[in-house]
Amino acid sequence: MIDSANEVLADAVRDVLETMFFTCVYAEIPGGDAEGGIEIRLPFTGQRQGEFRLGLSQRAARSVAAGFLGVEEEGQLSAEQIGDVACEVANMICGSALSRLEANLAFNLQPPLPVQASGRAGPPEFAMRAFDLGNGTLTVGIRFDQS
Amino acid sequence: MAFRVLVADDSPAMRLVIRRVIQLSGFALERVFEAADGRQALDVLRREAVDIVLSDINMPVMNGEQFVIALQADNNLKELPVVIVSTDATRHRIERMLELGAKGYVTKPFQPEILRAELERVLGVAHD
Repeated sequence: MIDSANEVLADAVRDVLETMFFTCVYAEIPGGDAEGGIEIRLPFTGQRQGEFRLGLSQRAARSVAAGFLGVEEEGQLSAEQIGDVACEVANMICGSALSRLEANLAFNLQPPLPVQASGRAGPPEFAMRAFDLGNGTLTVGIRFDQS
Repeated sequence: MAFRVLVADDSPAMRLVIRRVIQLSGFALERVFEAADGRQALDVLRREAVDIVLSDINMPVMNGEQFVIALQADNNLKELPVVIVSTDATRHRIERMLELGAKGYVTKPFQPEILRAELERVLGVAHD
């Protein structure tokens, strides 16, 4: 399951960012960290349970929020708005990835939880993947609980 | 004819984007109301005339599923069309929400024209 999940994660990242956040995904890059930016944890329950993690560097978080909200001056964005948009990014990528993984999979996304960015890659069980957004980096990973 | 739309979503950013997308899509819009959960949405609907509701599923206090059930149980509101806007694109969820009484379903991420088309389909409006 985790191998399939990692494959669909990259597709979900591109689809979500390009469709609704007007953000290009330039390339997948090795490693990647939140660079003191924002980290979101999103647990999910249902037939498959686990957790999704998203990290956005500070620059990427501002840029993605500006694109989503249609704000030209990134300096006008509040920390609350940037955090809210980061949660929505996590929500959409996780939901999109889980839906692609198995069309009949029933799941419930829990509220996204912003946490202090560790600045490190996630735990090994998450197999984090990182993407260059031009204006910073985005990292994502997913873990399924053993059933 | 222009329509009055209620957007129910716990994310202020998502409510803002949906409002902007509807406006930019060219949909005939008179006014947009907002609610952060199903309970707030019911409160709005009991004091304002609304033509259609766009509702998320995962919301605190009263989620989208509970909201649709509550609407169906209310004789004054059960004919009001609800379109679900959710990240959950699984067949299970879509069928469940339509069975409960939702009239449409749009999965996030979506293109503006998809949202407009679904609004117009549910409202029975001819596309310009």
